[in-house]
Order: sequence, then structure tokens, then C-alpha cells
Amino acid sequence: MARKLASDKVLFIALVALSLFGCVMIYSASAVSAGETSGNPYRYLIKQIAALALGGLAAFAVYRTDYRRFAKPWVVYGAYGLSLALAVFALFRPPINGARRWIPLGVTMLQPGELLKVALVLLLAHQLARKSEKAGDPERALLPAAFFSCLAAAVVVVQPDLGTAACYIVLCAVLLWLAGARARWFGFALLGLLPVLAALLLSADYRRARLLAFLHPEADPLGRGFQAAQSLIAVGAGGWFGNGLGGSRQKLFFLPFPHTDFIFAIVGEELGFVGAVALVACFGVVAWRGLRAARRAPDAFAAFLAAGATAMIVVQAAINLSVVLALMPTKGIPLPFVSYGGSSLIASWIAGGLILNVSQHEVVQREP
Amino acid sequence: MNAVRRGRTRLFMLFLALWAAVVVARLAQVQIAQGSRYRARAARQQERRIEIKGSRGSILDREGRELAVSVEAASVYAIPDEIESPRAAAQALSPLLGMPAPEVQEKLTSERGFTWVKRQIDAATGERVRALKLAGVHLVAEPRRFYPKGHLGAAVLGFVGTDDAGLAGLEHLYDKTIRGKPGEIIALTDARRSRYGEAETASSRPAQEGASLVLSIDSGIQFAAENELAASMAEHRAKSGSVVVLDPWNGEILAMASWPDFDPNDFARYAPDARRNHAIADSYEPGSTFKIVTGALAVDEGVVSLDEIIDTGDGTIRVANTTIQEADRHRYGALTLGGILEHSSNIGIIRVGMRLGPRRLYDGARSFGVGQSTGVDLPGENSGIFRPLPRWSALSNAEISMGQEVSLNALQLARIGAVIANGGKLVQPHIVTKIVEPGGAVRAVAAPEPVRVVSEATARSLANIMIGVVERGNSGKAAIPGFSVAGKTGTAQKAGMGGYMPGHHIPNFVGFAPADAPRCVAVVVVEEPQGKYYAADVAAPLFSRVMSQALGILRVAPREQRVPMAVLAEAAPERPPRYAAGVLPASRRDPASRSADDRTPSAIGMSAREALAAFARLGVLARLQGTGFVVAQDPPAGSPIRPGAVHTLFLADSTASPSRAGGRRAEEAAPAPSAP
Repeated sequence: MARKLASDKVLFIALVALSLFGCVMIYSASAVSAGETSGNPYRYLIKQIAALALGGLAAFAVYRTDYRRFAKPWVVYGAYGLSLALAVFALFRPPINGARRWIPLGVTMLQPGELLKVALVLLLAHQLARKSEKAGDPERALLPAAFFSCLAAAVVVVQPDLGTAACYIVLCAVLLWLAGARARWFGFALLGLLPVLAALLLSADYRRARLLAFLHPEADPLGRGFQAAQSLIAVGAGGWFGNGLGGSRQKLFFLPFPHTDFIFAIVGEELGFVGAVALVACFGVVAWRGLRAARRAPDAFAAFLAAGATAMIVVQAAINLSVVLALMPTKGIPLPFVSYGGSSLIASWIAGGLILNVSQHEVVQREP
Repeated sequence: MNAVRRGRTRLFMLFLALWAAVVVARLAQVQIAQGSRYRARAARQQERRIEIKGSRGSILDREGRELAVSVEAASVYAIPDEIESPRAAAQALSPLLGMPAPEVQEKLTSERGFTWVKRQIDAATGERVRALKLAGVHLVAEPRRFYPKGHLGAAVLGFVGTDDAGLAGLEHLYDKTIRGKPGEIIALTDARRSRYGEAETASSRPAQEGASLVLSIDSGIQFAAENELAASMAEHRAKSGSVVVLDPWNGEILAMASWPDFDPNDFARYAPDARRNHAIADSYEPGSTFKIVTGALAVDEGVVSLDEIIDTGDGTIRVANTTIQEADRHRYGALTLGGILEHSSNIGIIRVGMRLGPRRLYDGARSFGVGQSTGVDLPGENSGIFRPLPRWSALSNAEISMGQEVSLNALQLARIGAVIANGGKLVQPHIVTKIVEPGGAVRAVAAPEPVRVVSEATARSLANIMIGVVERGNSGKAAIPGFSVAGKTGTAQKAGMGGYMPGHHIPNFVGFAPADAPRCVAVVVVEEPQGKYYAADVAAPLFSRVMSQALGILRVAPREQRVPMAVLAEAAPERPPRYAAGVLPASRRDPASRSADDRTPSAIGMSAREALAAFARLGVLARLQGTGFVVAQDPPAGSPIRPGAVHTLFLADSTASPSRAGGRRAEEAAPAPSAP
């Protein structure tokens, strides 16, 4: 029943477009600050292009490999174990910007938390596929999935990186949901996680401050609410069509991290409502084609793999856009393919490669 | 059945779609519904708006010489938020700006987002401040008012405050016209540090220059008037004084000097009295100078004829139970009207004034502008006191006839003099003749047409009487060699509480020259001289010195130098006179419009007669040395004509070989007006 087809061109074009668009926006957002701090306005652009090349190579390798090979336990647990080990290792490094999130690798830095996202998708897909195919009950994967997700989340929370931890939990939840786990389990999980979340929020001052700033953004626009306020000013100043590419003024040190987590604000300012909606639509295409590939996948592993990889991209994008638009409290989650960050870009392209791989194998759907 | 449930996938898709819808709705809210609000907020934090003054237009004298100009100066301002160490910055700025460090620091720590530290410092200091490269301390170019001739004409020009408002004089009255339109600098800044260096050129709305004023003032005459006034003030240790020189034909003010004076470049250092324009702000009883009004009215009304003998009796007259005496108890006996003015007989003029009666004296004096502001385009004119008829006392007719119970300012008196000088017309004194828009468009300021007050014959009669006053009467010191001068003295006592204050005199003089073809009317007023106080001793000599220089500057040829028409006709028989290239004869042009292009013509080879005629046409004084034909001249031909300079022509017999008869520099009749 499985047919070997050409990979999904629409998805491929969408991902390439996002990546190239990301490069353009990174240059626009970072040229001035990079030029002032390092003397090289192309600094971030060059690093992003290098990461894009690496990510492209990785995606190509993933795409050309038979996906069933990824289902082998040593691959699954090896990837997860290695990523987790690196994340733990990062905890013992001296902190950078107050977080133990990175491992320096010469000219660049590795962020194991990003790779762990892909590894977790792989592991969850493996668990769900095994339990649903062999035991016929995906709910049997509930506990192991929760365990591995929470373990990964616990490690990154210590970094501290609540955003990435939340991302792992949401990934796990989405895959369980798609696998058909009963709704009550989600209710229980929510009840169990709420106190943990509350404890985490109140344990660190900056999180409490971010939450307060989110609830009352205008209370302290130059202090805690600064990022959110400056982000909204940038987006709002864009109007219908924006200031034109390169026309952002907010990137001149008003808006912190304009080329990483808040790049969407610069998109909004320079390209306006039209450009911002186009970018949202682009992620919509990714979601549509990714879930389509999952639905048509020839086996459970492929289906969960494609669905998980898609969810990984789309959920991050949704959270990032919400943070930029002050719909959610500030979190350290990048916009996949667009934000500056080599680890994130490579991880995103591996996920993209996985979806493209699965999209080659399609079964004709039959209604039950 | 697929492992990924269809229903669950759809729900997930729906969830994502809803999320996307929320994001798009939020974008629409922020970018479109509230876009303008956010744009305004962005502009507020990204832009700094700094208002820049437009430079004021220049003020020029009648020949285009600059009396007031705008020069670029630097102003220092601070953005306190950007200053890292206000203390260190204040320490660095304090010596450069000449301000105490705590004061500077206070400004640098101001709560406001923008604060001026010091405005309008000179360019060199500005460069040194710039070189400090202090974060948050910036410079901006701002125009500053500069008066290149310092004190010259200060009372007329006025001065300008730091906020660009004209505070006195023409600067105040014409403030709207000459003030530039302010522009705005919109400086884009980043959050950490601003870049004003770039922003200074990126002005979004450039400041516009104001219009320039061209005055009727002649810097040369103004300088002479101020110079002589100051010398006279020093000589007589007087309290204050003023000189007005007026063109009697059109009311143009050629000079208006006021003492004590001040430097408008540094006006704050001077007392208010020094900044006062005494020529129009002070009114005083003119005394005997007013007798020309009474005399003119009496002649015009026909109540007295010129050859009529008026008996001044024993030097006293009784009016309304009060006895009025001649000054110094003189007894003049029988006098004509001319005699009355020559001797300044109080009794005589009272008899004449009584014949006129209150009604005609009142109406006539009003028509001379007494008791009314002259309407001159200068602020702060004191129009004097002239009580309306119903409030006259029984004594008023007599008192006013001799210039008491009435007060005038110097300009009003000059205007009265002009009536006699120009053949009976009241002119409107004015000072601004043209307004030059920044684009170059010139707008002439029209003065009202002169209004006839007395007949031409009356005016001529009074002029002749006034010539007599200078030639035969008490005002001999007003005479100018080579010119006929008409004039009249007045020595008023200063009125104080309940009567005249003994020892407080105001000698004044009004006159014009040349009497047969007047070019200038001048009034001098000296308030409270110490020692000598008669106008004949104090005011008349000052008048003479100012007037002689004014005539020189206007190149009015003295009587002796004026060649009879017969000679001119003979010099150029049957053909139009030849003029040197670019030279327009003085007879055919407005002497005021002399340009720097005027060059001395060559007289070499001419006969004495021809040479004199050629120079006379230009209004240039020439002195002959030797006989025969002109062989050399000094200053040489082609050199610019300098006002008041006397040219010497060296003559030799034509048979002798023409040799240059020495290059001795001719002495100058009058000091050339030099800009201080």
C-alpha cells in the first residue's frame, strides 16, 4: 500500500522560504548592533548562514535515510540520551547571561535543549508507535512518554529555561492527544502540573516579574514590562505595510534581542500587518502539510514522527508569536527557521527533514 | 486505521487555526486599530524634537551697510538621561562655559528630558565643548544677534533677548517682520546613545530667515551725530541728550542719536536709562524754538506783516495779572518779526501770539503736529503735552506763544523745522524705507504724503528770518562756513513739581541747511548741562558740528564751490556735458543712492573752469593750485569718491611740460565716517 513518492514540495518551499526570510530579517535586525559591538554587521548573518548550511546537510541526510532506521532503539535512546547528557553537561558550565544553557564549541555555541526537542519527538514517536502497534493501546505509552518528557523538562528547568521545558510537555501532550489518549488523562496531567508550574513561577523573581509584567504591561513599561511594551511598540508602529525592509527603529537598542526571540516584532515593524500575516500563513502551510504527511504515513512510527516534528515547529511558532504580541508572558522560545540561533535552526531543519522523509511514503486513505 | 487519529488531528488543526486567528486578530488590533497610537509612542521615544530659531533678518542703513546681523552661534544642551556622570561632565564643562560647576551639574541632572546648558556661546568654545565628547551633552547651531557697529544707532535699533524676542527699538516694533520662522530638528536616536551629529543636518523643517529692514539712517551721519553728541555731553557734563537729523522733504530720519548710549551686543549690562531713546521718549518744553511756530502761524494768518514794527516796550508785559519779562531783563524796543526771533524776544512773540488768539494758535500748533505723536515707526514715543483749548488758562495764550505750557520730543521739533525748510508741509518722520524678503523681494514702505500746513511764502519768510537768527542774532555759533544756515535756539527751564526747577535747563536748537535748498533739518537737545546753559553756547555749536559733517557726507557743495550756471554753460558749449564712464551727475540723481562705484573723474588737460564744472556736477569739492591746465590731481582719477574729501587739482601752464606737481595728499575737510 505504501507508495514511494516525491517529497512534499510545498512544505519544502515553505521551509526554505522561512529560512531565507529569517536570514534577511536577522541581518536587518542585527546589523546595527552587531556592527557596534563587534565591528562586523554581518556577524549574525554569517553564523546563521553557516548553521543553515549545516541544518540543510543534516536535513538532507535525515531525508535520504529510510525512516525505519530511526525507529531502532539504539538510535532513539542514543539521540535522547546524548542530548540529555549534553543538557546536563551544560548545567555544569559557567552561566552565560545567567543561564547554563549553552556549550561553547569554538566560534559558536551548542544549545542541547534544542536538539533534545528533536530527540524527544523521536522517542515519543517510537514509544507511541510500539505501544499502539504491538499492544494496540497507545495509552500504554502514557507513562513512559510522560516520564521522558518530564525528565527532559526537569533538566532544562534547572538551566533555567521554562519555555523549552513547557515546549517538551506540550509536545508530549500533542502526540498523546493525536494518538487518541483519553481526555481525562490530560485533565489529570494539568491538575498535576499546575502546582509545579505555580511553584516554579513563584520560586524565581524574574518569572514572577515577567508574569506581572504580562498581566499589567503598562504598569512599568521601562522596567519589567519593557520587553513586551517595546515589542508592541515595534509591531504597532508597522501599521499596514510597515516601515520597509531595514526601516525598523526599534532595533536600535529599544527592543532587546531583536534578532532572536523578538524577530517577529521587527517583521511587524518593517513589513507591517501584511508581512506579519504572510509569515503566520507560512507556518499555517507547515502545519497543514506536516499533519497531512502524518495522516498519510504508512505506519504508526512515521505518522507520529511527522506529527511530532510538525508540532515541534508549529507549537514553538505559536508560542513565540504570542509572546511577541504580549498574549503570553515572556519566554525564551525562538521562532523556528526565522530567529537567529544555530542549534534551533539545525534542530528545526532535522524536524523538517523528518517530515519531508515521511511525506515520501504515502498510503491512500480509506475511510473506515 | 492510522495511528494518528483523524478526529484528533482535526481538533488539533482547529486549535492551531484558532490560535492563528487570535494572533492575526491581535496583529490587526495592534497594527491597524491602535497603529497610530503605537507609532506616536515609537516617535516619542525614538525622536527628539528640538526647535531651532530662524535667523532674524538684517538691519541695513540707507547704503546697505549692516547695522544688525544674525551670526551663527552654538548652544549647548543636555539630555540628562544619557549622561553617565553628571558630576564629571559638570567639572569638564564648567571652565569652558564660565559657569560654576554646581550650576552646570544642576542642569545636567534636570528632571526634564531636554535642558539648555548654555545658549549662544561663540564658535570656538563650541568646538571645545564638542571635543570633550561628553555623552548626553550636545551642541546645536543657533543664530545670535550681532551689531557689527556696536553702539552705533543702538537706541534706534534696540536689542534682542536670548529667546529671540526683539525687546526694544526697531527690533521690537518690527519683530514679526524680521523674526525668522523657527524650524525643527527631528533627531532619531537609539536607546543607548543618540547621534546628534547626524541629526543636525537631518532637519525636518528648516528654519526660515526673517525679512531685512533697510533704514533711512546714514551710518556716516549717525556716527557724526553720536560722536559730536558724546563730545558735547562730556564737555557740558549733561545728563542726557539727543540729536535728530531729518530729510525735510520726505521725513526720512538720517540720524537719531541718544545719549547715554549702550552696546546692544551686551545690553543687559546697561541701565534702562542708557537704553532709552531720548530723541523720542523724552518730551520737554522747547522754549524759544517754539517761537517759529507762533511766527509762522501769525505770518500765514496775516496778523502780522514782515516789515511791521512791534513795540516790545520796556521788556515787560502784563497778562492776566502776571508780569512776564524778557530773558535777562533785556529791553529790545521796537522790533520786526525777524528782530523778535533774532533776539528771541518774549514780549514780541507774546504780542504776536495774542494777536493770533487761542483758537488760531491752538489749531495752528496742532497742524504742526504739536501734542500728537509723529507716527514714526519706533516704539515708545512720548507725544508730549499740549492741553486742549478748554483747559487753557488766561495765561496760556501768552505762555504757549513763547514755547511754555507745551512739551515736545526732539523728533516733533525736527518735524516743525522741516515744515519751514520744505516750503510749508508737515512730513511724517519714518525710519524704515524698505523691507527685503528673504527671497529678495523688496517692499517699499510708503510714507504718507506731506500735508500743507502753511503757505510756501510763509515758510520762505520764516526761513529767511531763521537765516537772520544765525547770521545776525544770538545763534552765531550754529553757522557753518560756506553754507547758509537757518535755525533757532531755545533754552527751556525744566518743569518740576509746582513750577520751574532753577538750574535745570534744556538748551535746544532746530535748524536746517543749506538754507536756500535745505537737505537736512537737525535738532539737538541737551538736558541739564552744568555751567553754561544757553542754547546759543551749548546747542548751537553742537548743531553746527553735526550739520557740517552731514552736509559733507551728503556731498552738498558749499556756496563758494557752487559754480554759477553761466560757467557751467560756458564749459560745455552746445553739447551735452561729457561724464566719465559710469558717473551720473549729482544734479540728476538722488544723492542718497551713491554707490561704491563712484570714481573720481580724470580732469587732466582740462581748464580750471572745465575741471571745476566737472567736479561740481559730481558734488565733489575741488581746490585749485596754480594756473593754466590741470596736470595732476589728488586723489588720483579712478579712486573711489569719499564723502567729504577735498580734491586738489594741480595746474600748470600748457606750454610747460606737464609734470606731476607733487603727490601731497589732500587734507580731508571732514572725517570720513568709519564704522566703529
